Amino acid sequence: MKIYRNSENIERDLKILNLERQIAWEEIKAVKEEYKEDFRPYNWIQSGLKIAALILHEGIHAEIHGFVSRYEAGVEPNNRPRLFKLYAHYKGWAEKYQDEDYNWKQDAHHNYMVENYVTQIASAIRQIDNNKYPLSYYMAYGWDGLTKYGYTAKRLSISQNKTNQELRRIVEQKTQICK
Amino acid sequence: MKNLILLIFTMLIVSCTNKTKGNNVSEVISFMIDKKAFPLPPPPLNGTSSKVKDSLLNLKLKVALFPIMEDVEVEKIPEEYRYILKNQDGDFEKLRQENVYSKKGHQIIMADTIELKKSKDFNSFDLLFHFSKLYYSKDKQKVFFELGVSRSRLAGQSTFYVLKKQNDKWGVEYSKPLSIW
Repeated sequence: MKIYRNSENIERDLKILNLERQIAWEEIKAVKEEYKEDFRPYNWIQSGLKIAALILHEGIHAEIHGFVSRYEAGVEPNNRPRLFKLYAHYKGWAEKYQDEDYNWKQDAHHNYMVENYVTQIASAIRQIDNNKYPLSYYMAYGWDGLTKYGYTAKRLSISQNKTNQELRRIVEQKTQICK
Repeated sequence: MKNLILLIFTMLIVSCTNKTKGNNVSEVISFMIDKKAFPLPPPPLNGTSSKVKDSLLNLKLKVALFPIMEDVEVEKIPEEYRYILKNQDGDFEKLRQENVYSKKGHQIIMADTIELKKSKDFNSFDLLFHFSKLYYSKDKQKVFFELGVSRSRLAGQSTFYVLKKQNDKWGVEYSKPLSIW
């Protein structure tokens, strides 16, 4: 058990845990979005509560999987100076845009995801698909919803994205998951 | 003959009323596009000069409007603005692009809802604006609505706005962030 000797350390850890919770929530949302697509009433008649329970169940899977794979990949969950740098950077942009409603935290989160999670998501999807194809075939899953952030950060090009989408099409034609 | 004249007269009045409402709607939408359409800021890179940052503010974006305007849930509306709900006649469920413009030069298009379902990323435009119905006060000097602005289906935020007209110009009187995705 960790012993705290001053309130600053407690504050710091609480901040880190809160950030982790927000990142995990982003990951859960991605899963939820998939279910919205796959389990529309005309595809699969379910009560709202059952669907909600299913989303929660899958969300917990995603959180556990995310935590374990991060740990296995050697990511130190308490060391996130880059995340704080992104927070400070995008807070600065909020002042530049002079838009009191601009949610700069959201842009910080998505950039952090681009820098740290795209390959991890792709790799997890590859595992679920029994490693049928090389990792490049699954990169489109990692970039889902993040391509504009990838272009701006110069970590993804339009032609790369096009290739990723073509490779994903091959995966989706052959996969047996949820068919 | 008398009936025909009466019918034409009635149609003329109805069409004029709708036109005034239509102009009000496009005014509000145009105002919000110029307020909320700005490019995605790049992540911190070494040596990004303030000149580069300033030039980003001048970028012209392609903005898509979601065509369906839904109701705002009553619980999202602060108590002091709920009186405006009494003046509604349930019009304007479909958003029209007519008269919507951007003073900043952003290109405005209507979103293709079928295309939107195919991908989590927006491939043919930069930002999606999804307006709720617009609720005007009786004197048309105030309006409230919810607005979702997204860079992708997994990156966006929605905000509740109250605008007030002063000297014939709209300005934000109140805003409250509702959700992020």
